[in-house]
This record gives sequence, structure tokens and C-alpha cells, in this order.
Amino acid sequence: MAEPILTVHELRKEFGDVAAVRGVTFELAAGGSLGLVGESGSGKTTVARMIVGLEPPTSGRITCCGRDRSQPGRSTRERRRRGREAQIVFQDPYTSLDPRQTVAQGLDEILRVHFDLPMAERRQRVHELADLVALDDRQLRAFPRMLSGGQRQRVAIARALAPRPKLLILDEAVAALDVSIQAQILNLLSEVRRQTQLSYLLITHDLAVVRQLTDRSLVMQRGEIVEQGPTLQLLDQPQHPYTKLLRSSIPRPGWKPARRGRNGVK
Amino acid sequence: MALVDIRDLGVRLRIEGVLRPVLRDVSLTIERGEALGLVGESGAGKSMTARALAALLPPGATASGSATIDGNEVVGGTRQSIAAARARTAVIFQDPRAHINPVHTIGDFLTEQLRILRHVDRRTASRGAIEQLDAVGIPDGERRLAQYPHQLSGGLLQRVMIAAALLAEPELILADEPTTALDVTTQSEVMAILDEQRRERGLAMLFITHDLDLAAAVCDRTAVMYAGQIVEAQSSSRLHLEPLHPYTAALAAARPPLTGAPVPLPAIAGRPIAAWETASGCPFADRCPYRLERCTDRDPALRQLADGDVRCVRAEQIHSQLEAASTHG
Repeated sequence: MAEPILTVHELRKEFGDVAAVRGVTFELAAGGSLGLVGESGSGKTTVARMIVGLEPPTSGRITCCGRDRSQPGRSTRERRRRGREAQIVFQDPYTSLDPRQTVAQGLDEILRVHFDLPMAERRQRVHELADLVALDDRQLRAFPRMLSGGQRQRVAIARALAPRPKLLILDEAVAALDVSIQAQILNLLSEVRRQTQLSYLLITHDLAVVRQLTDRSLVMQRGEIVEQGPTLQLLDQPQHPYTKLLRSSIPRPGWKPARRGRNGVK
Repeated sequence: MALVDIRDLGVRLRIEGVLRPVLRDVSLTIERGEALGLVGESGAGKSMTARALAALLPPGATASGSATIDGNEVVGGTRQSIAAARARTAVIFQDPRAHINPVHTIGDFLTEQLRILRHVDRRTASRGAIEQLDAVGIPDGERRLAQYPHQLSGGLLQRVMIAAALLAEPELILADEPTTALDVTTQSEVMAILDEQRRERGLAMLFITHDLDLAAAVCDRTAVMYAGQIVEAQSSSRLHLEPLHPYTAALAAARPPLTGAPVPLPAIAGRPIAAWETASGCPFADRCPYRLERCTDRDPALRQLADGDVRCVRAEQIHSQLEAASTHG
């Protein structure tokens, strides 16, 4: 197995009296793709926020690209380096973009912050990124409000790819999209990974999406990992009752909704 | 006579200062005790159809055509006929938190309509509410009546919404994406409760969702909307196996499968469009793999085919290809 790009060891996060994440440990191989599956309150998003530095862990260790990032970065330089290493795409393409910047301006700003490139090279790189996510010239000149939800999510992905990260975290990045647009973005993400050798950490509640994009998966419930393994095996032969319940709750042809006992698991 | 009869319903809304169509030529019926699924992507007109039926169109909207509930006209009907239609209808929305007054208790919310509309005394109303909560799987009703909405989870609150809908003793439930904001395990449970209670009481339902499989699981028939029109309607069990319209087949195929090794998805190029963005001809033509020149010549009409309705001029020719396309996974 390749050197892990991301190692999370005994990670814990408490908000007041509530432990949102309780002793989470996992590794993501360089170039690999890991799914973090769970429902609301499972702690999956809190894990992602700690990895990118939006929340400090209560205890535990996070190592990304061989360097510790368990504590907040002290200098601007350090924080930017961390930004170059790991990027995140959020669920809502409507609130994660600056409404006053065109798509091209936004991408250019990221390149200026992270790299020392002459304007002509930056412009070329902006076009490369646009090509990668299938945005055309007209869309590059557009403001976010002029774009559809799917187009905005392409912009968010291009922005995340701009600093050439080693790790891309996708936090429910396709959950808010229409089915036909979701299929386009899932195909795009598979293709980007094939072209760039990027590692993915995919945070989602959707088992079909995990199947589409990841090699390995973890299932989280109430802040803890309850099951992990290769994604196809995890989905086809779930062992833990909670994974089984998740699997059987997804509507599919011939499916009927089921009433459960009061404590969740049948 | 069908309980719900919508004929040639059109709705225009003021969008960016211009009156634009959001629904065009929508016709559908729901029999007593029947559940109809209304499926489509955002902007297809699903919610607007339900809002027209509930006489809850946004301010400035104009509607044409006809929609009746138990013979009572809602579109341009008298106040009495709209009131009579509403008395037979209960609505369940996607976000219960936006529709339950946060400063009143669950008990106030559930008993208000009984006490005001039916003049039931407080104790009888509370007893009815507790029974209803039990029916939707909330056994400790007495305690819940004293609680406030913020003390309940989303899944519990949606069950309270269902209880409130049932308390109104409607003949028709309009459910607009009632489980979209819930976790899948909670969705399964809430849908099971809604399905069971609806069947037990013989209520009709218009169930709006973006999920074809969810609609199929709880609805007798499913109608698919695109760009403000109904493009297909037939029994839910056949819709999946034998779609009549290319959009239905494409929508079913675009969903990532739950079995087998992952392969690139047969995505539909482009994006769903709104009714006012359509040019002449079939609104799906731009994205349709079966398009011919004549598809853009004029609007296809909704017509009968097999046991369903379809709005596609090539439906007979491409029928067998569609079956193959929708069952790729």
C-alpha cells in the first residue's frame, strides 16, 4: 500500500457536553478514494472540518501529506500550505461562491494567492481548469448568479482544484443536485481523479454515490466508526446492523418502506 | 367521478418583471383512495401543480384551465367552492419546521383546527391528538403535546405534521417532498407510516418527489413532469420496466446503481429547463437521444399509449429501446 496521504488517529471532538466524534482512526492511501458514510449527527462533517482546519480537534492526531495538522496553523504561510494540500467542496453551490466575482476572476485570485505565476500563465491555467470541469468561455465570464446549480458546483470543483491539492474532500458535494446533473458531476469527478491522481475523501449519506466514487468506505454512527472495508464488499455484504439498515432503507425497484422498532435497528 | 380532476391547467408567474408560464397544459386525475406520484427535477412544475390544487399559488400568479376536488372548482372558483375543496385536503410540506409555529406547543398545533373549526372541547381534542400521534408511531403523546417544535427531531416533527394532516379527516393528502430533508432510515420509517395510514383510511394522495423509486414504492400511478408539462403517466410498477417517454428512461438510468461495479453513468446532457425557456416543439428535444427533426416542429400532445399517457411523437418506435436503457443497472 502506498504511503498514506491522510492519517487520522483517535480523533475526538466535543461541543460542550456532546462528543460529536469519538475516537475515529483511519488512513487514506495516496491516490485512493475513501467514503465516509453516515446520517445527520454521525460526525462525518465534523471530521472533514477538522481535517481542513475549520474546527480544532479536542484530542487526537491528523497527519496530511506527511505533516501534522492537529493544531491550527500559526502563520499565514502555514495555513496556505495546508490549503494547497487539502481542499474541500461543500454541498451548497449557492452559498459557497463570492457573488461579486466572475468565475475567471475567482479562479485567478486563488492562483495569485498560492503561486507566483505571471498573468499569461495564470490565464492559461484558468482555461485548463475550466476545461477539466467542462465550463465554457461564456461561463468563465459569468457571475455565479447567472449559472445553474450544476454549473456552480463545477465552479466550486474547479476552485478546489486550482491550488493543485493532493487531497480533495467532497462534503455532500452532489447531494443538492438534480438527478440528471448529479450523474454529470459524478462522471466528472471520476474523470478528474483518473487524470490527476488526486485522493478523494467523500463525505455522504448516499450509498449509491459512495459506490460510484470510492475504493474503501467507513460507516459512522453517533461519532464512531461502526464498519469499514472495500466499498463494494461493504455495500454488498454489510456486517454491522446499522450498515444493513442503511442499505435496506434506500428506495429501489420493488422496495417497500419499513416501520421499525423505536430504537432504530429492527 | 374522480376525486381530483385537473384539466388543461396553466399557471403564469411574474419572474423578473415578466409574466412567464411555469405550468402548461397539465391534465391529471386521482381516483378516491388512489395515490399518484408526481416526479421530476427542480423547476419541472411539481410543487406548482400541488399549490394550484391547494389554491395556494404565489401572489401575482394567474391560472387558467380547471382543477376540481370532489367537484369543487379551485381555479377561479368561488370562495365557497375553494373552501369546500380545502376542507377535503390536507397538505404535508418538505420542511415541517417552516410550517409549525415555533412559539406554540405541539398540542396547540394539533388541537387548534379541531377546536376552532369543529368546536371540539380542549380535552376531547387532546385525546384525539394523542390517539393520532400513536397512529403515526409516537407512543408518548401526552408528553409530546406539551413540547415545543425545537425539542423534536426532524423525523418526529414530520410525523407530527402527518398526524395533523390526518386529524383534519381529509379525502386527499398533498405531500410535497415530505421526506427529502430526512435521513434515509428516517425516510423509510416516515414513508411507511404515511403509506399505512393512507391505505387504512382510504385516502387519495398526490405525492411529489424527485425519486422515481420512492414514488413507485408508495404510489399506484406515477406521472413524470418536465418543463411544466406532464410527459408521461402510467402505473408505477410498469413505469420502471416499460417507460414510455425518453426522459423517464433517462432519469431512471442516470441514478447511480446500487449493485455491480461502478461504470460511467448514462448522464443526460444539458440541464432541466423551466417552462418559459422552451422553444417550439418538444421541450426535451435538446437533450433527447431519439430526437428527429419533426420533434422540434410542434408541441407533442399528451396521448394514450398502452395503459398510460405519453407526450412523445416517437413513443411507439422507441418503446423497446427505452426498456433496455432504463434497466442498465
